[in-house]
Amino acid sequence: MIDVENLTKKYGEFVAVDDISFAVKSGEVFSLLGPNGAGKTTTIEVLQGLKTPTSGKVNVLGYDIYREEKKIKEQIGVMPQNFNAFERLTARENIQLIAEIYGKGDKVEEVLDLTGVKEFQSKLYLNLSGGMKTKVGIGMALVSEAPLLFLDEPTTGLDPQSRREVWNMIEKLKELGKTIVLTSHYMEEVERLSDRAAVIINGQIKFIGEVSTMINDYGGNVKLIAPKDEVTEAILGQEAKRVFDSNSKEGSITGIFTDKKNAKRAVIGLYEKDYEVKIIEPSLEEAFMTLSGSKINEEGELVT
Amino acid sequence: MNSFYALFKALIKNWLRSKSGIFFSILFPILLLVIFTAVFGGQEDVEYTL
Repeated sequence: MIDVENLTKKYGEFVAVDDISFAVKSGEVFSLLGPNGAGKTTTIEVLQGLKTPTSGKVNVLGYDIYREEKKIKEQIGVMPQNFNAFERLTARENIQLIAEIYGKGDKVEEVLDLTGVKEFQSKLYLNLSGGMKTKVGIGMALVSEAPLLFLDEPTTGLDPQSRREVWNMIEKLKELGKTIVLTSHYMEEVERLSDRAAVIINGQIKFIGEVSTMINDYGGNVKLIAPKDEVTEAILGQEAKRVFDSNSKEGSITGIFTDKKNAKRAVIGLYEKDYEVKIIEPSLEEAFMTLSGSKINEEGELVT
Repeated sequence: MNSFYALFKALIKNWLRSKSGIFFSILFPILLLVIFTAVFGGQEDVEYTL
């Protein structure tokens, strides 16, 4: 669906995207994960034909970005970052507008049902909540029946409940076979929705591949936290690579496991003796930390 | 042409639903016209002789 080879985009002397290569397969959700200013939006704006690359080869839906950018624009659905629509049109009218532009007036009902916009279709856009606005935005991107969708930080600024609703909707789109390119700085979002992801920092890709591979390879070790006594010390001491008194919870010990089989045996052993065990699995956050040496905070900033 | 018409329709609808938009683009200029006509209108030519 998308092939990018050695893409570079500069603004004057500033290198926003630095020699990146990746491919997006048909029917997958591919995420660009990175902090603010990493080059995620610039990359997808190049893919959408909105920005001309400084160098590199970019092919979207079989069309060359330099020569056939108009054809690409006709066949993609886009929900940009900080998306906005006509404020004094209703949710339905905004989707209807895009449908009419693309000659797909008959698809409006279907999209209203799929996105859940039907419930508030008669409300003016300016009176909608953040989550509702995002749903309208995704509806507007969908109604042209584009096989390829770009969602640029679709849940930034939303409350947890709305965020989950949007995730459910993106999962529905995935089931319908849409190819989705998503940008995000939320680990949970990328982990839940993506088939594959690229970690992008300062315009460079630090990792690309399946999210599960990233977690397994870089997500750290399994940790078990159990109440401290002779039994737990014996079980964890036998199976874990390292055992120490927990910092987070007084009166408990933590076992670090490099091998999942040992962790499993320890969990079974502890459960058989009726101990409450807290299991901390390798996470995408930990993987990101390993790859970048930093964390991303809620606002999308990189913090060390 | 269809896209142009759809966009035109949306723009007009969006504008018509904005009360302040309508006031400042239609009623306010008329109001100004009426006020200035009332204040400065109907004045006779004044002739000065030295």
